[in-house]
Amino acid sequence: MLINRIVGFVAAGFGAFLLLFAIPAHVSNSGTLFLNPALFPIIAAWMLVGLGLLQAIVSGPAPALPSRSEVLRFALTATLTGVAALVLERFGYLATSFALMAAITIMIHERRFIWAATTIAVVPTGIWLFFVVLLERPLP
Amino acid sequence: MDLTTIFAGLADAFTLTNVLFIVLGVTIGQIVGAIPGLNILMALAIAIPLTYSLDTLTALAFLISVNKGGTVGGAVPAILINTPGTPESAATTFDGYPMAQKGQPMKAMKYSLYYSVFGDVSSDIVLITVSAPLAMVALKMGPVEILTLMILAFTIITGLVGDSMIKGLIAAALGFLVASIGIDPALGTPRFTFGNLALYDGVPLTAMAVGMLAVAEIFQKIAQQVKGAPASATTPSRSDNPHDRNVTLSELMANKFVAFRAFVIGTIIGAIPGLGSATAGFLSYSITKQSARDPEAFGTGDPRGIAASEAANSAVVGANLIPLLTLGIPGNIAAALLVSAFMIHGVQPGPLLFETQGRLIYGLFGAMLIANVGNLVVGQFGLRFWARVVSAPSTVIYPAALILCVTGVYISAGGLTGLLVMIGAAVLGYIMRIFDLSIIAFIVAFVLANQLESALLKTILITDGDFSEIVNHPIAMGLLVLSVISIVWLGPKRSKKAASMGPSVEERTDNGT
Repeated sequence: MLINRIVGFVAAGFGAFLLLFAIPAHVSNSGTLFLNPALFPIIAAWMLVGLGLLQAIVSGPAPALPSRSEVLRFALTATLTGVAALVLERFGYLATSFALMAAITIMIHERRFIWAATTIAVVPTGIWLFFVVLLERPLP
Repeated sequence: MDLTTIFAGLADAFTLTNVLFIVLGVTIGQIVGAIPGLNILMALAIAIPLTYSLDTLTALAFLISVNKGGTVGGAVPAILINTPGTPESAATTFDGYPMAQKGQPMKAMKYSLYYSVFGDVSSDIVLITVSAPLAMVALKMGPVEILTLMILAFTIITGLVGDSMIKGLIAAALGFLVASIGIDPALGTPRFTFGNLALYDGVPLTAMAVGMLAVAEIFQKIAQQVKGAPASATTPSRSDNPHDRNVTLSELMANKFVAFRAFVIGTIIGAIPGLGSATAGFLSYSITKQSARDPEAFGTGDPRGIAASEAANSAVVGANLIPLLTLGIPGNIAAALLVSAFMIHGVQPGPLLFETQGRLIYGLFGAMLIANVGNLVVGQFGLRFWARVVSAPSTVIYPAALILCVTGVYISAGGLTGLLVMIGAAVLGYIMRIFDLSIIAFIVAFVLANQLESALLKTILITDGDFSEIVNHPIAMGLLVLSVISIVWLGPKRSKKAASMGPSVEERTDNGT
């Protein structure tokens, strides 16, 4: 119940933030009342405000939340992938992929040599061959 | 439309390249469907970047074949290890798994293959028959009617998907907001681009779809890997008796009425935006069981249970293209992903397709029919091999899927920007799943936002900003009344049901759980 109310208030607060700050700062408000680039974002923002408040009032059954460790591991996986994306062009596709796959293999506790080697070396190399050699699409 | 265009289009589908890509798509779909934890949407999202260099018809035929193959492959783990490979096949576990436990896993898989192909072919025939006349009706609608039709579609989708219409609409609002990033269609000024030129074309749909549908789930599955968890499942032993491995025509025909009713249910459900294959499978199974003289036989390995589930969930695949091709409205995420494939190749789905791209559409219909044959042939020879991928370790599958997503998005969606959008979408998708905000509503809103904004602007111009003018458009008024009815009928009903029953089948499907 409480979680749904929080979701409602967060949605409404985000809508208000858009209306008061983000839309005026990042969308041109020229044109007439209706033929206005800000019209569609304003409609979406008002939807968030109205529906968010409604959600806070109506509430409903609470969703089952994931464990803290799952959230942390999700964040770690996303961060590792983000770092790989940022260094991809600097270190090249194969080196980055090997490193990312190795990090994830350690994270998911795969200790069997054959499967770990498949994940770390065979899969990225196979994908590289598929895109670069077969489809002739360049990778860094 | 003249017959020459129709036959030319159908003939286009029969080129060697197209047939090869259809067979490849069906095979990939069946394999991905057979791997528990991977689903058709992930396969589609990953496959879209692979189609950039392909001809339009080949690309669409390939993607639809992946979709069709997935519905067949999903039944394999449902039957062998009581774990549906895709949510669509969840109802197949009820009788498929008990039949496998009796020593007839191959027989159960063949039942599932044949009824699945029957449902798919039948719904494709309905699609081919009704879509052109429906598109002609849709062409008579102006911007006001299109605007109100989209409002109706959103009220239905958000009302039927998930447990809360309010949360569905919040997700749709977020989809509209993200879609508004880029150049606006009214005056051509940038919105929310923060000076980044890469965002002037808007958020890349492929990166967004791959991030929300595939990467979010892959991250979650990797995060859920627990040390010491079993890496593979054991499959039931097989009998050497030929009767236990094959299905005869008379055995299939014994359930013809069950299969026909399942196809009708699947086709109707598929044509309604917001409902999916999982709903069709469960509804058909439930009706079949309730109407049977011996309901106690269900759940013990009764082939009627497999027929009811598989024919219905496969019938959805063809039928969910009806609203897409006739109105331009994707009824579910698979259809929304196909929209992105259409757009990548410069084709705007909707009623005009039959006038401007008639040959392409009939080529697509031809490809769908070939894909059904491909499903049957590939399934006939491949099922015993797909049964082995059920045991593939998830510690290899999820990292492999992740690196495939990263590579595909890097190549197809603007390099680093595309990758960052993909990761951001994955995080957003995970948060939305946690709080039961519908991904389906978000993606459909994101895909339809440009069309909706364009219809809104045209309506404003036509009515001169006076929305009371809509009363002069009877069809639009009728659609608005239907929207109000759907809000009143579906909104509270879903909330009440949710309060008493917990998460719905569709929302579990949406969450990929």
